[in-house]
Amino acid sequence: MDQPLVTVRDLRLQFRTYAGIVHALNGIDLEIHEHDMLGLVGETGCGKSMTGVSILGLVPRGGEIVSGSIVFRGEELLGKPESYMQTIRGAKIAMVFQDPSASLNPLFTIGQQLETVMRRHQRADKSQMRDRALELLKVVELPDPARILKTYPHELSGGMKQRASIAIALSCGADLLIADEPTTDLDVTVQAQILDLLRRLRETQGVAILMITHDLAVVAETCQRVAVLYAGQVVESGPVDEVLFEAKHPYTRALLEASPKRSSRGQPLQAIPGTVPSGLHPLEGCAFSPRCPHAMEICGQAPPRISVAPSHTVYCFLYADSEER
Amino acid sequence: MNELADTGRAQNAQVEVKNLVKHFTQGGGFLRRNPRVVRAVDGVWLSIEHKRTLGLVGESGCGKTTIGRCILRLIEPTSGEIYFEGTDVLGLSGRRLRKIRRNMQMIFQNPFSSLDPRMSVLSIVGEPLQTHTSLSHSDVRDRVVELLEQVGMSGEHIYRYPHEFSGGQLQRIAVARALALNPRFLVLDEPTAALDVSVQAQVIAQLMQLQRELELTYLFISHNLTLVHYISDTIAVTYLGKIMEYADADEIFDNPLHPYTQALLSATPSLDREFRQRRLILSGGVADPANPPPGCVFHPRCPRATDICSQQEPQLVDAGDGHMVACHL
Repeated sequence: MDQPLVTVRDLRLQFRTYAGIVHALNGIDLEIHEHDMLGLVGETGCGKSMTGVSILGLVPRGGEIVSGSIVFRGEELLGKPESYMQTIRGAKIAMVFQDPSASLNPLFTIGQQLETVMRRHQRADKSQMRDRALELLKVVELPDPARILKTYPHELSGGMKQRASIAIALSCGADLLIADEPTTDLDVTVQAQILDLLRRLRETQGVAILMITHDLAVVAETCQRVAVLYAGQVVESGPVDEVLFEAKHPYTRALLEASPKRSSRGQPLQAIPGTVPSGLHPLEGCAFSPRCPHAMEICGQAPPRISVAPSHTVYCFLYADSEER
Repeated sequence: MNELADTGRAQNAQVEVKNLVKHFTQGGGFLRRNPRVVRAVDGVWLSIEHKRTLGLVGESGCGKTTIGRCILRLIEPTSGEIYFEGTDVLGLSGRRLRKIRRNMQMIFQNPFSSLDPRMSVLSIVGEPLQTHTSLSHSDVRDRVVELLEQVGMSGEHIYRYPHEFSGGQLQRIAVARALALNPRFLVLDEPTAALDVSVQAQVIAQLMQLQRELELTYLFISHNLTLVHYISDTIAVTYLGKIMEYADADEIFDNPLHPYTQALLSATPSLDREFRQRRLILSGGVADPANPPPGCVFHPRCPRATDICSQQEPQLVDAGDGHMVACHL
């Protein structure tokens, strides 16, 4: 396979809090390929968003990346100075947030906000920027782009605001778009529009997308590949069809069985016993083992990385004998 | 429109709603000229049979929550009729209203805001008992412990406070509070929207078990079509304060007649392999309920709209076997 666009290896992120050190990410391994849509799924607190902001170098205060590497286009991003990250952020890697009403500035028009980003990263005169802004609004399929340029965020509906923030993210020709729960605040019919737009942008603009979501069904419908996170670790990753329909890791399976499906009516939903481990204690062995129905003695050790198919990896001892021995 | 009441399903209805209307008035300045009238609920007919679950689905702003709150008279409807076991709820007041309310309870979307952070679990779950019964302190405590155990929690938790619990546990406490007076009817307003899927599975399983054991009737309000299908016997699809389609849960999924239901179904992401790929994507968003389109409220977004749709409002009619649909097609 060709060189991935982004390779994350053994990323560890910790937060200092009054209660002690919170282990937010415990060795994340990810690969995002060019023009690919990778879904990052998991439940609240599993580190989905933190993985996204770590790639952008936007770890919140109190957080510290203690080890690991993030390689973008063959270049290590960790340890780069802030001034350098500013040339990457927005230009090469851009982000779309969950709530467009919070990520757009209410005091500026959509046009002004688009130009601010472009002026920061590109050399262009006013009329060129305006043309580019109009083109971007057309790309995100907003009706009447010339009018939208002059509107303020409060004049637009939630779906339109999200389209505008996608336009801003794309304005400098980013290679990677990190979309953090981009449709969680939207109605289902509008969610379908935005997901459809993201899918088309991947095809027409050639942008790779990291789709952070808690909704497995969204991943099933939009992404090519998926990584399932649990307690700050990737437990399984691979092509969507393999991971979601031939799940190997007990956590992925449990998550799928807990999700209501059209075909599951009349059958009980399987709840996962127990709760997510607290980030205050460093992990020993497999994080899911205390809740896992297949837990074995060996699960107290760090689970091995096992390829069950060419690009389908699972971090679990259950599959160890087929390969390790 | 009266046909709904005449169909077989209305025979032993525990809860019946007839032509429910709720208009909210907004603003208009202090001279009250031109107030904005938001038609949150605009002529809704529903009936729920004993021990059954009616699922109410629709997008935000379509009046789902308002319908639920009107039935319990948490807000006063503008007009319409609501019957609980044959009693006209809107005709009651004072002591008789309080008495009937013991039988109807509500569970809200967000347990972090529906439970008072300054009250212990004992006082949260015990409050309805203190209001409506004359049980002694120790009897209240025994009943609270019993209720907590009924929702799968330990009785040891009674002296704790809401911040000590997770979202799923808090929602169980809210369920225990709703069950305190042995109600027969529960309005569940997006009870799992704030929860993760694995926790949602626990709460849904618990609710379904309680329904069987305690013979409860549910009105389940949600925007999640897959979840509503999973839990409900019948489904009502709402749009801009009106019922678009009303049928058996499987019937809605297998044979959706209204274009809005079809669009909603195809927009819902699915984990089922066989139901993926076919897509009907609507343009635009839900219209402003203060200024609904004339004729069929859905026609500006409807892919199959014809001239008549913008002029005449379709009535909810029986398309066979109690499958009700409000569409000219």
